[in-house]
Amino acid sequence: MSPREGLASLSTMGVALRAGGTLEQPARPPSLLKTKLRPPAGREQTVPRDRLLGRLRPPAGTKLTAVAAPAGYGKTTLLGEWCELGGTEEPIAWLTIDEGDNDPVVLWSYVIAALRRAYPGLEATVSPSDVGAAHTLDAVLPDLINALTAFGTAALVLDDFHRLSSGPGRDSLAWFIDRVSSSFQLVISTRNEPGLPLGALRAHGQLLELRAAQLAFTPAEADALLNDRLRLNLEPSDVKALVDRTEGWPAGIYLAALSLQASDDRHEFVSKFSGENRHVVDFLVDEVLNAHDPETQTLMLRSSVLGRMCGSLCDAVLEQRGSADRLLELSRTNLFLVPLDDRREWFRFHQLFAQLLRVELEQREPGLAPVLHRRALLWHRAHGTAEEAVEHALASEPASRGGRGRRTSVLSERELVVLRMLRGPLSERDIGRELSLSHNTIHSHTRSIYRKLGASSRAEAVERARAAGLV
Amino acid sequence: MEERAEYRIVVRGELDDRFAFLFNGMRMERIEGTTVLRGPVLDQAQLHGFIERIEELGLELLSLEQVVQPFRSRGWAVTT
Repeated sequence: MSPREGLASLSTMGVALRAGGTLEQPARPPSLLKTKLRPPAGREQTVPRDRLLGRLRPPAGTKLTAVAAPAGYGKTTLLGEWCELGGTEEPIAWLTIDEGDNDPVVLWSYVIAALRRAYPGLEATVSPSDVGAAHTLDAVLPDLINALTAFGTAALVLDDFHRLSSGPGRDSLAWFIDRVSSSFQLVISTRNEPGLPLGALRAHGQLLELRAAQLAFTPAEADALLNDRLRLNLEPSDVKALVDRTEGWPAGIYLAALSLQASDDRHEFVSKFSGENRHVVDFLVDEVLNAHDPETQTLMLRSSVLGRMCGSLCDAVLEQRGSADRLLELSRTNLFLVPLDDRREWFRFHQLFAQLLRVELEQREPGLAPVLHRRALLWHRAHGTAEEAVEHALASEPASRGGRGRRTSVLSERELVVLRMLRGPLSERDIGRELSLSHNTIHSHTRSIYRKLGASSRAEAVERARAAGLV
Repeated sequence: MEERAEYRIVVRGELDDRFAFLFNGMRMERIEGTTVLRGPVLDQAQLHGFIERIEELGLELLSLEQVVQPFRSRGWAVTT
């Protein structure tokens, strides 16, 4: 099996090899996998933050570097830049975490893939999917740790670390951090305090932290963005006013910049902006939207319900043509629209911005969101991208249903497998035996499934899953 | 009929009513540079969903408290 084929059946291998039967697994489109293993492309408009890049070379003995700050502080941008700087001489491995990585087999398969991509000479021989989750700690990690020690200096970024919840995946990472040699630099970016033993690391001087206070823009950095990059010609006092008002929050400054670009009297805008009690996001999203022509506004608002998007998907959701060109154009001028591949075919909105657009969408076209989700569901079903179809299926039921609160986070592939088995008569323990997973792991998946479906019993979960077209 | 718990959540910055839809229609009040959300919460899962929404928007959470206790039958299950 070539490495590429191996990656494509990542999540299925551990299960299929053990269970010995056939399990229908949705095929993962190759571009999704690639995007997990590479940082976002550098954009012209971003400001190199030398003062922070310097701090990413940690003192000796640092086991973990944590970039911990809320949404919109430029964590991913900073780390992407750092990766790019390393280039080919000092490569840095990259992995974007998502909920599917809670499964240790998936997590460590991706980590090894990310490390091999940056360091082809790395000799990690134990394959997580071959030995299964139960042997992560006694087979996979010792082998990987030895391979890294033999290899020498290496670094790995784990972006969106907060998407790992408590469980075997995160625990195995904590175990790894504790034992890996100090020539290995692990950097995580996270929106909240990671569930790792940071206290102990801090106490021993083994933790390097970059937090909101460090990541906030200084007036000099704001000036570089607003005047050098975006050529807004703002007075120093106006730049300072913006920094004060946003307290250096990069997303806020950038939203202001987008609004200013369309503004006739920029000084007037800054004065008005500074005087408002309204939260920055409340004030600015309107401004940013209204700066665009109506077709682009419609595109932004309606595609806000999507995760990743391409021209064809947007056309289907908007029931219009021409989305591909509009997306391309928009991505040139708006940093919140993130290109996911080199061919500029796939994009996604920065989550913060998407959330704001969704609020605006509900305001302008109440009740339309479920309809849009339904169109996206149909497109994904037709294109065989099941995971995203699931997410849209859950979201396409109207909000007025009056049921339990439900988070529209997608079920991971492993959770889907467990969910299918929950339809049958097997106990959790027996499901575990079938899948060669521990009872605890199955129980943790089941709890997560209930939570995501808003169910409080197995029967209810199955019923809701059936209603949503998941099983 | 079970009485639900009510929570009061305060974030920094004044937010318009249209944000209420992210919080299942909680009442919103703007008071001196903060926004107070108040309303019934179905269960802990929903509450954590709201907290996640606040995190996603990069809002500063100032306070969160249960202001109306739910009716509780015997047992230790954490539902709200």
